[in-house]
Amino acid sequence: MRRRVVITGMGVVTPLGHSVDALYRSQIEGRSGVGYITHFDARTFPTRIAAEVRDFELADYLGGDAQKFEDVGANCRFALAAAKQALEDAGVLNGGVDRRRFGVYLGTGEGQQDFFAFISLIGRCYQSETQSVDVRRFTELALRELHLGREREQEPHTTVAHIAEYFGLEGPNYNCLTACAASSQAIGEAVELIRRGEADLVLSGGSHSMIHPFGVTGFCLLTALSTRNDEPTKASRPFDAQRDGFVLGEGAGMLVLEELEHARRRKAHIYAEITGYGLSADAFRITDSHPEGRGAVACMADALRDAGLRPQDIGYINAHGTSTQVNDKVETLAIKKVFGEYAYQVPISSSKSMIGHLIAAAGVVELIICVMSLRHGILPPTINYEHPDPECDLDYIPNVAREKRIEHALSNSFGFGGQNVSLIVSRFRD
Amino acid sequence: MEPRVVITGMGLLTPLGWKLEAIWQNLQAGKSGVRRIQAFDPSALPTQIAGEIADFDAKDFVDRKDRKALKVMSRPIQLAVCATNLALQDAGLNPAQVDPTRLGVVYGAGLIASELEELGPAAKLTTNGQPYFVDLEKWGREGLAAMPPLWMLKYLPNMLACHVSILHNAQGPNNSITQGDVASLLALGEAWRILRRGAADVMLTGGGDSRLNPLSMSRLCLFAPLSRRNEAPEEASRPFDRERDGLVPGEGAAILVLETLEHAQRRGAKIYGEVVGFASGFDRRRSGAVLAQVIGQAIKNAGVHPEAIDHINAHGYSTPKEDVWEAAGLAEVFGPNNNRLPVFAAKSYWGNLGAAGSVAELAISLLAWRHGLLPPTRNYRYPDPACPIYVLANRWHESHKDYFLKVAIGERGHCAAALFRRWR
Amino acid sequence: MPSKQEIYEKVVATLVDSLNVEPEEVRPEATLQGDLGAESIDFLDIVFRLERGFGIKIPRGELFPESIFQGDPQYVQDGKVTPQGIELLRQKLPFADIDSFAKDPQLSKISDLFTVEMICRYLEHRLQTEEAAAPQTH
Repeated sequence: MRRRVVITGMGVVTPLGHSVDALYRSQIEGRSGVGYITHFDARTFPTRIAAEVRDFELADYLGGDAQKFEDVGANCRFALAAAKQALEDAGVLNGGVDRRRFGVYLGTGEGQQDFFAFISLIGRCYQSETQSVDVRRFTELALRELHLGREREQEPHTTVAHIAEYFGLEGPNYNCLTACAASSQAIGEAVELIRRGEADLVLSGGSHSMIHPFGVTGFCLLTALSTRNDEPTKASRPFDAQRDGFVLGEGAGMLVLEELEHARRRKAHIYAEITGYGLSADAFRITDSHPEGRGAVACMADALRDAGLRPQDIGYINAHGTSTQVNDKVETLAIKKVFGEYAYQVPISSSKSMIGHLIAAAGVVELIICVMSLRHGILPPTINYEHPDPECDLDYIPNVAREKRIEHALSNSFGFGGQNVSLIVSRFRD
Repeated sequence: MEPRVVITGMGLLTPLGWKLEAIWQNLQAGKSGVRRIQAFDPSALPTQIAGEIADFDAKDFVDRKDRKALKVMSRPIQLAVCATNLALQDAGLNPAQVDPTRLGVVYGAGLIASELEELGPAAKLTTNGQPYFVDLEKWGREGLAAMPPLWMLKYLPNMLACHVSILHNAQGPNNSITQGDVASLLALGEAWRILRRGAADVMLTGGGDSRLNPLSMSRLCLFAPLSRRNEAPEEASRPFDRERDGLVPGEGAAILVLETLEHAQRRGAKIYGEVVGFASGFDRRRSGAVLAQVIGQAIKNAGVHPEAIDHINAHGYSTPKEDVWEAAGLAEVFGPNNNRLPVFAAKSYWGNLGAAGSVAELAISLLAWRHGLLPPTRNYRYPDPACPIYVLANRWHESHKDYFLKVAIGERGHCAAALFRRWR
Repeated sequence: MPSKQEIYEKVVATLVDSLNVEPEEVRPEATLQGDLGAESIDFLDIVFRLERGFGIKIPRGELFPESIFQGDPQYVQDGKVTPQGIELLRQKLPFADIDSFAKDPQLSKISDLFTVEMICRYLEHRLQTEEAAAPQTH
């Protein structure tokens, strides 16, 4: 029999709360975390709204040690705080377990580029007449003006290194970056590391913040973001007919994943079991989803197979539900293909209606919401659901949370570029 | 029983060439791929040398019908896409003949720098000549419109594996490992795990990376321990040598075709070798202690006696610090002077190929098996007492034994080891 | 103002660059998605290149409007565009060949409205209006 993997610790930093309880409470209350961007002056950007993490201080989590992380970006700060919560929650913060058997597998985004330093450099070195950059001058100024520490922290493997180093975790250490599927994929592969015996515990999840001038510029250019600037809290409206793009969020989520016998031996509290992991690639186009939802169908079916479950066993689906025209339509179609008639009965909701899209961190935070729904028997709604779309005709738990006892929940994450991941969490049973 | 995993193809784009025969000939001739940077004027940088790929044009490697996507690929993506085509050719594998849902891609990738020219017009409009000043109001109003709309897509690290999946209809598992200089070996480990658990029949794995542009090189010069041996580029990358003074940046892509043995045999594929062991960890004190355990584990889970190992294909950064802890890890496993088990460091030929490095390096050992001879490590002249290992220099090693070990480390403490078995 | 032929040639060159197609493939009636293989990001790229090539600004959604019907049942029913929907199309896409589309108004065929010809007619109109609005300089 294969080794079973359970969740024994959880932590989050999100636009709606910096603890798992606070996040879940606001989800049940149907609050929106979206507002005007304050991290930088976005007043003239096509999109001026996002779900920002507010009132966050790393020192609240790490005390004096926060000083060691002066140069790190938001990404890494969120990750450190969420990791601290999860490890503490699991009761493994102060050792007592074999470090060599304790790995880290994260899906964290790249660090934030120093927009002002970088653009001001290029502005001085770009020659409009020849449409070229004076490279000698650029490199000369770059050496003088770029900040050594902050530049180093942009490398995408630094967050996972800081976490392993600070918390003393010496097992397998990975970071994957598959856009919006990253943290779900990290969790899935971490489960496999434990199943296959390469580790007994893995800290897994992700963190991301793209609410900075480059991030918002990039997504605005691709016309991917909602431009409902006049009504920030109404902008993220997955499955609603008038959805017009996603809303950026930011934050981190972390899980302590543990082999069941290991968790039992140390009498750890078990939140839930991860029973299913499915992954696939659309292999279709760079940003367009496959019109038949090919990849989404494959990964949901794969996760069910992995868990040994039938579609009717799933009591709740936490959708990818980005609030873009195409995603929500194709995801709905894919759910119908996998779940058949039962698709019309299974409650579905999108956490992104409230916290926006946490990109690399989206999957883990949404999985944590699934775990909390399993435990408390209350499913969070999709808020801002006002205008039915004939192509999105399933039960999206409109606007109000719903009481329902469930045994298994499925969470979807689909990445820009076509990577698709589905995870299934189940109530723990011996 | 879990499926066995074999390597059936390789595609390399390296500073020593891209045709496998040409790379081998260059190794035989003792050539170095390191030179003064020619991609741009490096004269203001303290490090002006690199392992550079000369005259690369992606159009030469990509079918006409697939060329539209090249416009949204930065150089590392193009390198990986082209090396993938070479790997499939070498494997004699037509992806159309594989079940698309059983064909996957796991690549290592690094941070990709924006091309400066794309930001030029917007930057010009919104800056005033002062450092750190950008008029954000103007950026939002006019700057955005001056930027190419697909800008961001060119630089997302998951786009290496994404484009490859699209071009070859690979609908199976797809992942992008962004773990610095260990990335491609970790990717290989994951691809191996995926095949072993039965989630695919064929996996493409490896990585692509290039830091040879003004922004990345400036950044590396700030925070990475680079060699400054600008007067003697070919002697600059000298892993484990006492006179080493830092690493030499490089660029490249290296892709392997991994298959279950059954799938490979069914289609009568030629086999380079078998992946038999893998382990990874984080050596947070950078002492070599965890590295030694990782190596031990990789050997142990392959069920192999260390004496069956032919040689070690080391990471060999050529930096004063990292070579010491890597050597300490090796010495702990294999004993002082590692019992004259030869250590080979491919970076001595072409520098650090970043996220493509480990797989490009281990490919040389696979080629060596085919030729029965392993090349010497270049530039190893003065043994360093701080690196008590047996580095093979000045002569070719007759490769008889059945296994070789690949080691990869990262400057932060990441480490991985994989064991390969010769196919007979 | 460039002649019709000049506009056409420039559009062809733009599409050849953006979509990596042969000039012969870019006939006036060629559809961007079906015949020339454009995907959604290519529409953004084409607009950007046309803006540069013709020195004009093309507001978002003016040349290639997105999600015109927003799933509204008064415009679409059972996968077909309703007469009201056709009227909306005429407003949003004044340069497309709506008459031909209206003969068999399948929603799935809506992308066929985006043709090379449509781009050229849009540009002719834009450049004319711009010229009329510009102050005369000699």
